[in-house]
Amino acid sequence: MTLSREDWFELARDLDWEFSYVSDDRVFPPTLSGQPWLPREAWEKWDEPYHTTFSEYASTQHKKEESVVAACEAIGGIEQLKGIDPGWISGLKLHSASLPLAEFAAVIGNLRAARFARVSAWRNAALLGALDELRHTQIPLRLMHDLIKLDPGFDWTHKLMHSNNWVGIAGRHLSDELLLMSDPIEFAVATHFVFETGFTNLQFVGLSALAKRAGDTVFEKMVQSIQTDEARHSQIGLPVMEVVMKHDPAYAQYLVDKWFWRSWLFFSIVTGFTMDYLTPLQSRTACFKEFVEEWILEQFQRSLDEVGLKRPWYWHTFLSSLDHYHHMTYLAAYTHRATVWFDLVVPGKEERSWLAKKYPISWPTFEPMWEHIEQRWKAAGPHLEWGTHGLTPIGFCSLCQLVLCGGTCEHNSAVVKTYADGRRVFCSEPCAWIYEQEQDRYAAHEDVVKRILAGKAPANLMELVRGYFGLTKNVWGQDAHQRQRRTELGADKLRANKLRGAP
Amino acid sequence: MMVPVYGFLQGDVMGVVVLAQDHETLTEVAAKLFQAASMRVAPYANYEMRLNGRPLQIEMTVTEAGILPLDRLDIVRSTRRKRDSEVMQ
Repeated sequence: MTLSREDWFELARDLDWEFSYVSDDRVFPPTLSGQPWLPREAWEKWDEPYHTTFSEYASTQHKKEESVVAACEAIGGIEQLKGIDPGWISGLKLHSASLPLAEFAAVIGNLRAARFARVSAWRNAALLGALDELRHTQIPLRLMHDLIKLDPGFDWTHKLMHSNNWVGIAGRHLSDELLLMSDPIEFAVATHFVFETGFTNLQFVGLSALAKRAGDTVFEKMVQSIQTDEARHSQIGLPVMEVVMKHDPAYAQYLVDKWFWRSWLFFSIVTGFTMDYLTPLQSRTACFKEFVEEWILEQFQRSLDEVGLKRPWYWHTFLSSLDHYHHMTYLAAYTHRATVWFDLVVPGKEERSWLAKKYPISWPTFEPMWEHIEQRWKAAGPHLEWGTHGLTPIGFCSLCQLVLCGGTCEHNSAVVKTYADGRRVFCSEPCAWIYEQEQDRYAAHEDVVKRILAGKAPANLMELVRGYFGLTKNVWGQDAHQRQRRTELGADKLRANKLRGAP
Repeated sequence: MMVPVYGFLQGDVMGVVVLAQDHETLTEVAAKLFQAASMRVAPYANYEMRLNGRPLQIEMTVTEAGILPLDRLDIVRSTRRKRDSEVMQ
């Protein structure tokens, strides 16, 4: 006789029992299960809305896999991308490298919850979450692997997180803490409640729509497929948050304050660059700030209200940074583009006019810099990338490991602080605050500047880029449009030589 | 001796690491910071320098100004010529 789903599922999904030979805190040690460590009764009512069986999970995922494969085969990977704007290709390289190995770190975080979370239903949901994240690792690795034939920069999809590139260092600093080493409670709040519920709609809804308009159907299908998984496992976050709020609301607020800021910095670069600079103007529907206002300000604030949380203490700083931060970091990245694996673009006159309308508060401070860069390009000519490239070492934040681009152009918000073990610089007050809450966790980490000063990394830019960041001339970032122009000029020259019979 | 400092130019987007020498004047250090930002911001003639927010006399050397490794050094625009009494030694 076959049991029906109703006969067995609830028992199997949420099966816990009282231990007779060991205590709960031996099975679920506080350091591994997380704080607050509560008696098991506190977790008894924990629930998530999806209630998925493994069989249902496998069946649904199989259909999704078929859908992604079918889309890729129909559209034809490389051929599809050949006609797409080089700016979008750069955005794709940026995204591809930022995501898959971070997703793999999330496999570990979910598996820790699958063993050490305090209630069976949560452990089962986390196990499916781990399988989700494995899928999110494998899909981009698989799809981007084909594109290496088109552009060797796609090799960085796998390489970035294994490199000493400054973006890789910043990415690991975030993902190691968020995904690899956090206990199930911090993981649930930080990853599911803040990062996934709060921010990933920017990618899955906003960027997916832009991908479609830009003609990149593969990326669109990929993130849509991933989104359906995220929608399910992100639901782990709210019920965990509700228990933590009931027993230790100050800790819940601390976790939200910390991870909202760290998530914001990550998305403002990865998504902000792509939405406001790398997506062709004709494909844009809204600017990054408008997407954030729609998908973060409205929805996330509602989530905070529902559980009784306050806005993070730096809310005013966050709102101000919507107009400044990703523009400042983009200009910094453009003028140090050889230090990254993707190309960047100078926004043209029409794009700058669009940005001026979208960012009336801040754009007047950026416009003169782009005019200045254009003048330098004209003076140097299309072959001289270094005429618009910085040669001086960049300053990095001791917490987020990103460039010191906080505040505004008129007043950079960086702060230098002196501690018993030395001096540290932070891009902003929130980063300094996060550092000071858990100094022991962060103190041993050295940013790129500290490594240079300690003789562990070369000070010479070319040696740093080649030897330490792992970039080669055919891969390191250039101006995307100038690169295209040079390629076309080179092709023209080859054709002319061929016509003349020259070698 | 080399004194690395975090340099910020008002009107620019980022902090850079300026490798100053202890015997250099602040005018020389300012030239390095202007050069570091020159692909984004054209140098400007009238400026003041600040160490961790404190105004400095630009004729001083790095040592005389009390600049330590990894200090924050700012160049900010100035619209008027400074009098000696207006700056801290």
